[in-house]
Amino acid sequence: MKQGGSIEEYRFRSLLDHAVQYRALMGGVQLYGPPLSENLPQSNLLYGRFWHSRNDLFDSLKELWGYCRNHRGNHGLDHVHVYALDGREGTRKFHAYLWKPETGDAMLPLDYGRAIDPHNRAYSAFILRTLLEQKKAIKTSTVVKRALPLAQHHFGSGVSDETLGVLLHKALKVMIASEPLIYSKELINPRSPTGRYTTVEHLGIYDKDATWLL
Amino acid sequence: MATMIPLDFAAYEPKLTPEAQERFERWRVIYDDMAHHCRQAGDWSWAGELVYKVASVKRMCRKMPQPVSLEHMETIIELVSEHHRLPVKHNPVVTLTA
Repeated sequence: MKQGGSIEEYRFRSLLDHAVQYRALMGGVQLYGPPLSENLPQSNLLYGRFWHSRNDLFDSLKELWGYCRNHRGNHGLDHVHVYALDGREGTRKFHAYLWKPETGDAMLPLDYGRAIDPHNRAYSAFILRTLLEQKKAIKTSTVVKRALPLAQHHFGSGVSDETLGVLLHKALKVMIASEPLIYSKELINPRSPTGRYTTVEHLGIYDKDATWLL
Repeated sequence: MATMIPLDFAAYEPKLTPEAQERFERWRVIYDDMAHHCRQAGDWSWAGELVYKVASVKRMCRKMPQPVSLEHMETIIELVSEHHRLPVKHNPVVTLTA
């Protein structure tokens, strides 16, 4: 696949394993236009491409910057997500950045907090914080259990633990369904009453000491 | 405020002689223009193909002796124009009337 492939966020986790297996670096850019609705910054996806080398990634970003400079008034671009999946050292490394036409030859680390549901802010924030503190994929019930002390501390003694647990679980389910960087997997467990359980992880846990720029 | 990460584009650029640079700039004008019109029309993926075609010259330049001379640039441009031909978009109306 010399020309690179299109980006599908739900495949990030398996692509990361692929990059580790082949000791490769993959980089992608995801272009977004002006949002179609105010609270949905990611609602206008224009184009996305994955590259199998750093040079291609840098080339596409530089071309984009040049294009934005040449057509200042009407470039039609709002922001770009830059993703790097680095498996060159045999460990999973994931990096996500935000690039804007105004920032030019610099970019920002992507704020994972954008995943937080504005209608359910407190609960989603606790869930996200708990997910980012983990080292590996864990069960959904464990996430809720670990987020519970945070919620208790925030809401005081006014709300019962059961209510908090239910609300946290709901927030987690919403985030699994809506946030592409959260990866969940359903596994079979014959001893569980439902017959299965779900493990969940946030790709941000693999985001440490970036070396792909070097 | 999060820290900005500088992107050192110049470090990854192939070195070109001024004549080769001028030749490259002259060659790419039409593709940049096409890409701009594609984007205006909302066809960002087609613009991506065009940008890829332009970038493939840079990719080949990296494998050439640096700085890339005008002769090498001519060869590369000829190769890219000839070999990296863009797939033709199929127009069903034309096919039916042909």
